[in-house]
Amino acid sequence: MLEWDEKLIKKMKEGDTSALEQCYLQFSPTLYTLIVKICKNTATASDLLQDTFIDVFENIDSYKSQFPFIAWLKRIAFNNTLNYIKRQKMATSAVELIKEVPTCQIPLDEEISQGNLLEYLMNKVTENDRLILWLFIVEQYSHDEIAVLVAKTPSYSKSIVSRCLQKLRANAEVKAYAC
Amino acid sequence: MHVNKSRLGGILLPIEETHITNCEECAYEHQILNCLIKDAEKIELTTPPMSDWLAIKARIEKKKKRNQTSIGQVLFGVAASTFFLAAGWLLWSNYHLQSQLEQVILANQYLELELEQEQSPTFRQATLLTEISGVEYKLYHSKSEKEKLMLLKAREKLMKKIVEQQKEAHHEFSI
Repeated sequence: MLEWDEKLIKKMKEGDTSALEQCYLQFSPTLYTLIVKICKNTATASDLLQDTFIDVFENIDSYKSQFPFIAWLKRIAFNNTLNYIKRQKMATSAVELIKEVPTCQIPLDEEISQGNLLEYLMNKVTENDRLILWLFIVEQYSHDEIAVLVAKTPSYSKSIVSRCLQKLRANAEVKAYAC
Repeated sequence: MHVNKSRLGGILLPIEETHITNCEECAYEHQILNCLIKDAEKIELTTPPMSDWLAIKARIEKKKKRNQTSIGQVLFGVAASTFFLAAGWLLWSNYHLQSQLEQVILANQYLELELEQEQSPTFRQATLLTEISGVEYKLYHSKSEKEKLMLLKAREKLMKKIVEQQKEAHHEFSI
């Protein structure tokens, strides 16, 4: 894997395309993974990844070096994903479609037996809940930080996490896995 | 009282651990969250297709080109508006000068008519008439419209003087 050099940010600010490419090669797997895990759709993930990197390259001047670069990138990716989820929600309510929660390809029991409890849970919930779960469990954001990101109160994310855990509790096999 | 939900899944204080041993609900949530965090560490990164980078690159180049075009458009707009302003100012000043000339010519013609009525000029009037013919000579040779305007105004003044003198002479005679 390529090593990230902070000097590359200076080059990116100057509009050096090779620096932009290096940034993409270095960070795109991390951003793509988180977007795919939340959206569960590779085509949407590709679009959101492109939008994220375009935003990064256009707003690189506003990046402040006192914060980690990857955290700044992830923040942009989360914002784009959140906006996509909001748009989807609006579009769905406009046509009054009851969208089913996406089902996973692998049987749930198999996932649990393979130790993919997180995957199992992510497949059971909506996109919005997936985003909150990802932020809380994978990114280890506090409820206050999530509240700032999604422009809601901390109790909003707390209730989502709690509700998701309740879903797991209903499954006997999960109980067995957890114990 | 249960453990603060945001603390579950992490390192707990002794008092919280004591609570967990007695509370099934908190123990379950703590255990599940620990499992989920462990699973999160196992997540493998997925590399996006190379076509994504090509699409990003194309979009960046397109935006760069669009920015260059917009700078050119701004420059063109500034140049065009400057040209129209200059042309407008020239037209207006030309029109203004022309109307002034017309007014002065009319005034001169009116005075000429008044003078024609008097047949024998006095010595002073004859001097003024000589001055007028000198102004007319200059007027004949002048090239710019501004100069013509100035000379016509001077001619108008001289003719007014003659007319006034004629009126004064009439008054003297009448007394």
